[in-house]
Amino acid sequence: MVTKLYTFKRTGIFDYLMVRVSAVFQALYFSVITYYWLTYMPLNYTQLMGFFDILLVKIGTLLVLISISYHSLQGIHHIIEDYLTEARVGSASRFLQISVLTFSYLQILGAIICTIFIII
Amino acid sequence: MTKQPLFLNLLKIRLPITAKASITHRIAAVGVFFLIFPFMGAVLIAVSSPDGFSYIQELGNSIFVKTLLNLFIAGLTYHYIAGLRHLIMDFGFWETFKAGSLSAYGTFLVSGSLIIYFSTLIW
Repeated sequence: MVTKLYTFKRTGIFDYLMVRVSAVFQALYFSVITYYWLTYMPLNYTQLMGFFDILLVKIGTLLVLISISYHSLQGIHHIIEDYLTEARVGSASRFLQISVLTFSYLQILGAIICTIFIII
Repeated sequence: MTKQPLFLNLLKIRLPITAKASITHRIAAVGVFFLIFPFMGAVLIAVSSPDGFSYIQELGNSIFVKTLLNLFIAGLTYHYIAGLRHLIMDFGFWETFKAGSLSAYGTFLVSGSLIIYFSTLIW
């Protein structure tokens, strides 16, 4: 088990740590969202706008989207490396890998654009 | 070099509960990932104007959208709870097979209860 981190450059340990840090950040954000939803449900337009007008929520929403992007792309890379290999899916592996990655990046791009429009 | 036997039909292999918890954690992640963009799009329309909010509310009354929302919340809830279990294990707890199995059962139990609770709120 790795117990000490000697460098913070792009290594496997960096990704291992950042996936967990981003997960904790998302967990905190979704806990706040759930608490707000449960407290004020059913939400009306004014309450929803009021929530996204809070500066801390705006910053948190943008940061959580960056965090989701990193976390999910790492996850997609793991899934591609584990399941979409030539040994498992044959000669279509390269095509499938590129398709899944392209779709994932488009998905992330769409979510980031939506987030920017939500918070401005 | 001899070739190793390869039998990876997950529907035929009897997996331990820890493996099931791990695989479902990934499946939930993929499901949530596919639904995050439509979800953010819906939030964007809802905050754009009062009309947009009413449109999303109306859309949310359809069984199809409710099912998608339910799947999104269920996936997110399970991924959240299973992720907490993984984090605790990263700190060196629940690492024996017995403790891992118990925590996997606990994950299914807690996330299942929360999913039922959130589902009743959605429907």
